[in-house]
Amino acid sequence: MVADMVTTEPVIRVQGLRKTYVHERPFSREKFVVRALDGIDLVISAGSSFALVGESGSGKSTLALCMARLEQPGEGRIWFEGQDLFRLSGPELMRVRRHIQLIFQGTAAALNPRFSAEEIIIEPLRIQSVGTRTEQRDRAVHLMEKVGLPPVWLSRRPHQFSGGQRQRLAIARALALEPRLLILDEAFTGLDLSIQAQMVALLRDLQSRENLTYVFISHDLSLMAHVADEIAIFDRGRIVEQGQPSRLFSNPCQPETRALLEAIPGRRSVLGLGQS
Amino acid sequence: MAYLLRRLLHGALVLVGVSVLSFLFVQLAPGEFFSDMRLNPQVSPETIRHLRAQYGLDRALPIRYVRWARSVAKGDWGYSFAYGLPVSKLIWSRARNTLLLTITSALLAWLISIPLGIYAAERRDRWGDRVTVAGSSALLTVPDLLLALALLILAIRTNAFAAGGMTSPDFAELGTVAKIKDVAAHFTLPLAALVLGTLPIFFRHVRASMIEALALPSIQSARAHGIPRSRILFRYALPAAANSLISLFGFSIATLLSASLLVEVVMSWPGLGPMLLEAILARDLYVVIGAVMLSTFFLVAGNLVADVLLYLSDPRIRRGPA
Amino acid sequence: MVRIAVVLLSLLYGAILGAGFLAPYDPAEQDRAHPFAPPTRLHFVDAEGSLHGWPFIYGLIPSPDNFAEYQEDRSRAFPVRLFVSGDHYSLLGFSCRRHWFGIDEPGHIFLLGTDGYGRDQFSRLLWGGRISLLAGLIAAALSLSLGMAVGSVSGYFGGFVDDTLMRLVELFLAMPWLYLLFAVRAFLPLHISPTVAFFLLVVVIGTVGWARPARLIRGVVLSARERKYVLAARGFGASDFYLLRRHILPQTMGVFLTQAALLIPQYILAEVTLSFLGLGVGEPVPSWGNMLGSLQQYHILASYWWMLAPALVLVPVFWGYQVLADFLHERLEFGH
Repeated sequence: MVADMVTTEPVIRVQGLRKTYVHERPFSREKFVVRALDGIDLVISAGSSFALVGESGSGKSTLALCMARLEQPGEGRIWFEGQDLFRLSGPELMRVRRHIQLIFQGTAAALNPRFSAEEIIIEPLRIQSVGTRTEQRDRAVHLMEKVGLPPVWLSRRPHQFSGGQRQRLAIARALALEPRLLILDEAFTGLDLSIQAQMVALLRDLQSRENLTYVFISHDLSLMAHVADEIAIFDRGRIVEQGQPSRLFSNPCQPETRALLEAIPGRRSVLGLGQS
Repeated sequence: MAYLLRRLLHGALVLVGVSVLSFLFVQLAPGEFFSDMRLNPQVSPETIRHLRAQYGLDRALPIRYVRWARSVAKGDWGYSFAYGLPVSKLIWSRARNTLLLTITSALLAWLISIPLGIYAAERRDRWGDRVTVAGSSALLTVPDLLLALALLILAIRTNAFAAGGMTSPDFAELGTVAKIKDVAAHFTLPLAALVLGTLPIFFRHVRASMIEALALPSIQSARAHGIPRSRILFRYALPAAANSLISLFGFSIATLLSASLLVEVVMSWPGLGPMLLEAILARDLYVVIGAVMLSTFFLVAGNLVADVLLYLSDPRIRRGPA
Repeated sequence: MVRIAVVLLSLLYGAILGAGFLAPYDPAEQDRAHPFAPPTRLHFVDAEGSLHGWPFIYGLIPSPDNFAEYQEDRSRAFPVRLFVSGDHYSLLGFSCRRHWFGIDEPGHIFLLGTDGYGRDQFSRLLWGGRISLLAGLIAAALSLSLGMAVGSVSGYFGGFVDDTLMRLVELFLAMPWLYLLFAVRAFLPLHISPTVAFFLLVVVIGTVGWARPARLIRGVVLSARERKYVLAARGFGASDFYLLRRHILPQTMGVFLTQAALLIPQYILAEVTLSFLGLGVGEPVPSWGNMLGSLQQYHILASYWWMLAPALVLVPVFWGYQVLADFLHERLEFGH
């Protein structure tokens, strides 16, 4: 049923999402109110690559967490393939969790240093009780190859991998349950430029092969221009501007967009556009 | 200021909590002061019932607690079954002796361990450090009991120190100066036992705090600027370690109070320790609670002093949350 | 150095577990003819000056000029015999009679002298070690389990539960622990059988010390809970139980072990102290504590140095655990 709707129904639809954090000091009257999300509406279609770009603290990560149902919004709804994400529970929720995967910022912290690579990759299978031990092991081999890592390294620990390799490991883990949507939070930050290029290539390859939808979270506008079909500019919990990269670069409407564009070093060479 | 008031309130709450906790333990007690008396066929059940009513032991627990609390407010702190006196009268003179011992030991132990700890941290992994650390570790392996007993044997064999008690038998006849000397002579042994027992613990903490402070980036940059070593030590590292050192002061009170209990009993120093033991063996309830409460009070007071010192020394606490 | 410590501790624990076999005498057996006898000297050279290949001893008789002292009776030499048959003891449910070493009747070998009742201190040391060392171990296990449970629940679930539990922890930490120990012991029956006393002691000691481990474990759980890989696992649909079991509790192992190495010696000392003062395990069951109890009398303390043996044997125990604790602490700091 859901499969039929994939082509017509957008993968993600967000409506009126709001989330505020309140910091209270005990015995004091001060309260710090942080509006992480201040009324977000967006639609992401299947098979596309969507980017959320903004400065640190603009609320992008919070949106990512909400979309992965790891945080509860204060207001608003999120539909995943037509289902209200926050109304789900029990086995329904478990099923949907397979389809949405989040890749975290910072590779070292996202992988348990005491686990072997194999244990890391098959963990989602274990939690969802998918397959027998042997099937899981085979899947791990398969996934390692898919992300371009030698399967013999399955017994190694995360600290024995380089940053870029750990990122691939995280991606392999995310792919274990055959998701439809992959949310990548600052997936390229901290990687060398050449490794970034390899990552981009890998993700492109996986997208076409696995028919994935990507949501990128980043502060790097120029990189996102290469990677995304559509970019939403975030500022203090709101989307200030949204559109295709070429349009944004040639004709930015909002001052925040312009500021981000101006911050790109060697801006003129991006996308080969001659005008400023 | 608000910070201090908060800590004061907190301390008071802790004391109330402790008193409730102690009273709860009473509930678990299957035996009581009059249990042995009950076994005595010569004492009639009516007498026992009468005595129990007199001491309020026949009432329910919450009522007993309220009566006790009222007694505390009056200044009596309940009644001692064995002595027939208000607990406060019994406790106070003993408490004075314990305080004398504990505070002097604390000061002496700190006086030795702080310079030693700084010295060791500064010369980390070099000869000076290794020797002191080895010495303190060696001292740590000797349990307090053995230390106290060994010192006693030393005193008895060499006859150098007065062993046991606080005063000599002819104390009352001595002149004032002689009295002070007498107490001091009896004081040396328990003091030595306490100091030797707690010195290695304090030394380790001071050394650890200083090592941590010396590893700070601010210290490294000061060194890079060519600031002389001694200046770095006292003007940069020590203030950085001050926080942890001051909180150790609070913690040291707890260690010392527990250690002094045993030392006092073994060396017959008339403090809270022997009194507590006696009360336990006689099942003198309120004395036991009184002693526990008082020792807790000292601990809370010690921590409060540490809090005040922290407040005065650390501007971040004064400023409050940013 | 850690290896030496581990070997030492294993030997000590092994020795007390094999107390029945290793001890020449039953701990309750009295030799009223020889109270406060000094440790028997092993000789290799006899009265005539000839060297023997095997140690032997002489009997003891009271000194003619000083009634309280002893002299060796050189009229008869008793060779030390191995694997002798002696008093009954039970080993794993079997009744055995074979002892490691012994002496023919009417000789006695008192390797560590005797006490006021003429009981062999060496045997009592081995048997008493069971009480003291095991009490420390079991009480520590109790404390740590309690602390682990409270700390994990408090750290993981946070909120109101965390606040209340931590207030409780603060209360327990606010009391000087020996006073608390005494107070708790105070409110239990005084005259109880040694077996009951042992269990009661263990429970009391264990209940007093759970607070510090609880707080430390809570800290570890709190930080582990925030790790991204825990969040990721949650994203796969992991339950609280799974997260605790697979990710969070393994992190607490380091703290758990270090605390164990710190607490066990403290608890052994607690048992010894309580028994020493008559509040712990009582006669006739020996424990290192009650064996030292007689030393509260100054004349015994001054004259019979061998009675200090139970206190002296604590030193290697403490040393072993201290080395272990230091080692574990270092590994924790630089572990990952």
